[in-house]
Amino acid sequence: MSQIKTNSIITNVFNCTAKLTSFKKISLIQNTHRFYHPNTTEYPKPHSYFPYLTYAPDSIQAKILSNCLQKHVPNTGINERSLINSCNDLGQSSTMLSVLSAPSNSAVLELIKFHLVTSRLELFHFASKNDKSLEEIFLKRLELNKPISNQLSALLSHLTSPFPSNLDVGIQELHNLSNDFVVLANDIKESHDFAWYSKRMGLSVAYVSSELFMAQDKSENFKETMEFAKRRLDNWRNYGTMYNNTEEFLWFQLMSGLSFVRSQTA
Amino acid sequence: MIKNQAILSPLVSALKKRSFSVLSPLKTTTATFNESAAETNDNQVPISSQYKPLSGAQRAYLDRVIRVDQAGELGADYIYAGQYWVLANKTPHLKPVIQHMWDQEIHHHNTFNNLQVKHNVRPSLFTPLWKIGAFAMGAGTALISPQAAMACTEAVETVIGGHYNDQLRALNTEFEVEKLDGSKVSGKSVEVKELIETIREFRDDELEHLDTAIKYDSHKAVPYMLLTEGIKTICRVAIWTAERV
Repeated sequence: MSQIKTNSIITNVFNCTAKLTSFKKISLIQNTHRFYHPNTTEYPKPHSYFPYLTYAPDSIQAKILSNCLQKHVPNTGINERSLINSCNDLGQSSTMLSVLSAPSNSAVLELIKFHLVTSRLELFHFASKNDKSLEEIFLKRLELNKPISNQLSALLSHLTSPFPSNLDVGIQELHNLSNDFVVLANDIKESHDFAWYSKRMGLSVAYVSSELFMAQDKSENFKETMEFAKRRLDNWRNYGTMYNNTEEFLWFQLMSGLSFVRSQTA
Repeated sequence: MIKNQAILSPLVSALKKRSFSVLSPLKTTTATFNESAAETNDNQVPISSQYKPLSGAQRAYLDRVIRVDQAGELGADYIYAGQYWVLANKTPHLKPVIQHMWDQEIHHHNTFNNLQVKHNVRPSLFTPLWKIGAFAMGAGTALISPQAAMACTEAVETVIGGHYNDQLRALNTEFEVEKLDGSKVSGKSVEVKELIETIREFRDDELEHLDTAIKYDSHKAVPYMLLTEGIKTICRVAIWTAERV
């Protein structure tokens, strides 16, 4: 019954959506936002960090934070000392720390958030050049952690320490990241029901475990982390397939069972 | 004296130029609109039909509209599935009627599914519940009597029609945004206009279903008031929840 239905839907949709074709023209546009994201042809974004960071890429805050990530974090660690060093590099006073701490209550947390957001932006540029598979995007994101790999465990412990603002940033950015994986990868089909959540949840688990592995990884060029991540992605895919096959099987059995009962009772 | 002024004048003009706030360079610049507009100019939309960005509240509202409408159409789809499942063989004269309404709901459901993916909106968290509940509601009322099924359709479509009208009102009045070319002319983007057109078309379809239900004796359903008012309440609660969660 449902098979016949879906066929009629498809013809129906193709007949009735002359209007939607004009939608499709606009839909070529990038689509990286959590919220309803109006197309960028009609509504330009204020800056490319919008709405995740309150300041623009050419602002003083962004300069201090990116300088800090590149030059000081690998040696000094994720702390206020490296932020102050970075301020000194750029000739800013150390009171800039209070400006940095305005959006998320802590300058160090803002530094972490900056790393997470800019990495996601990098991912978007990476995927927009030509179509990339989920695995490529996933591994690319792990590679973006390489410059600060010796501080990775500090970063993770900071994000998981139980303060509301830490968890807010950590969980929100983790969701945004797994959402980006699904949106950017060309080999994942988007879903319309609860699977939307389980898909992202599974990817988040795969990503966090890979990152934890990376924090301990001593192999050359993080070869083992990449292998580990590939295995986790395979697992994620296998669980999805398993669930879908089981559901299809049970649904088929239910339908044929009902038809059998009907044919016997009629 | 004059010499002094000549020396001081660059300082004075520099002081005049300097804004009062020390923190002003830290604020997010809003003047970058034109730059990014220039970046996106290759997307063949002229600047005269570009608009200033929507506010957070406006984006959140559109997000919510798509989520609740998707959940609602999913529910409608499953209600007719339930009715069809019970009534298709029992009352052959109603079969094409329900089939027609069901086909329309499937079209609506697919349209909102596409919009949900296109705009990266999360679906309602309770979709499994909406599926089971809607199918049970359709099949349950159809088991009482064909008239009760029609009363169910009437109640559901009344609430949905009203809800679509509320959305149309908000979309028509709250989404006038100023244009980017500085002409101070405000209007709605093509995207919002298309969404309004879609909702309007679907609203008309739903009200047509309402007429169909009345034509096929929905008023003769036996606990008429209890059925319709009960289902209306359930629908309102479901809408309230699907908008938020």
